[in-house]
Amino acid sequence: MLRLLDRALAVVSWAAAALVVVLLFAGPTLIGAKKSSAAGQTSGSAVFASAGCSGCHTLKAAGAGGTIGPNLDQLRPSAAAVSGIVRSGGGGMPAFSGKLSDAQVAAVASYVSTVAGR
Amino acid sequence: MGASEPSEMLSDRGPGAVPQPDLAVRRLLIAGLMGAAVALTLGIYANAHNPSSDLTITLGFTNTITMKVWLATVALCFAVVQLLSALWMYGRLPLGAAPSWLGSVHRISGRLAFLVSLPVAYHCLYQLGFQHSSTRVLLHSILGCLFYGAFAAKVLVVRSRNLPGSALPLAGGLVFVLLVYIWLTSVLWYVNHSGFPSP
Repeated sequence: MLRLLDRALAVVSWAAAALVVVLLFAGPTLIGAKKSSAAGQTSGSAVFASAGCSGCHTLKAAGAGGTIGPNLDQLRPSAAAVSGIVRSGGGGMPAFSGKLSDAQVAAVASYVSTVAGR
Repeated sequence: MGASEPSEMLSDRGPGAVPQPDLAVRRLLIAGLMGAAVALTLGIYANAHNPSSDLTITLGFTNTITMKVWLATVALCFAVVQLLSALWMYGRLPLGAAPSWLGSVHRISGRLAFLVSLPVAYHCLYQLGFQHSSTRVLLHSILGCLFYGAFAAKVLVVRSRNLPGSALPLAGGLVFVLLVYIWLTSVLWYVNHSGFPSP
């Protein structure tokens, strides 16, 4: 019984690893979903959505309910503060410099500072 | 599976032939290079890929972070089973001879640890990429890539013959240590900040 399970898991393991590799490279194309990468987006709300900000932050205007990072509606950060933390990261937040263009950082900073807490 | 015997690396020339350490070195080198290639590929992908939050999965958990915390912890538990079963098989535990089913348990726990780690690794690579905003994050990024490289190398070592008896325990030990430090630099940090999330 255990050997049977071992052999079954061996096949499943290889298949799962192959699936992950395919998903990493093919991504949403495989299932026909639209790949909404942050790259290329310049609208602040679009950058907020596609960069995964909602996974960690709460921002009512964006429909975001993340609870890992600060609640942006309560914090109401300035555009400069958002821009700084987005570029350099910190406190567990990854840095997005090099992954978002200056225009995108400025757009999301302006967006967050405008809609947070309103 | 019982305790490993001291290595007897003989050539194809039959009994009494001269041991061939070159063969073992070659096989170890191949395993190491394969592991390095896997780690490097993941690192390059993570660094080059633009992080994206689409195509995320939660596998029934509240959110992605919760899924990652739980699955990473489950993987670590299976890895502990791997460690203990390996210690027993190598006669390092005062529990007498290892039962015949222990080898299967060891392999199954390893496969399960690998399986549950995959959704976590996928999300780290796809949603976050290679990060260096802090020492902890940089360490986690590097260790994550090294873990799968070490895992690939270990798989090759398991399947190779005529290797030194210490090769497999060292390879397995490296995989275990890497997973522990990956867990410490992610789950432990998260739990210290936000508590262990309910599923």
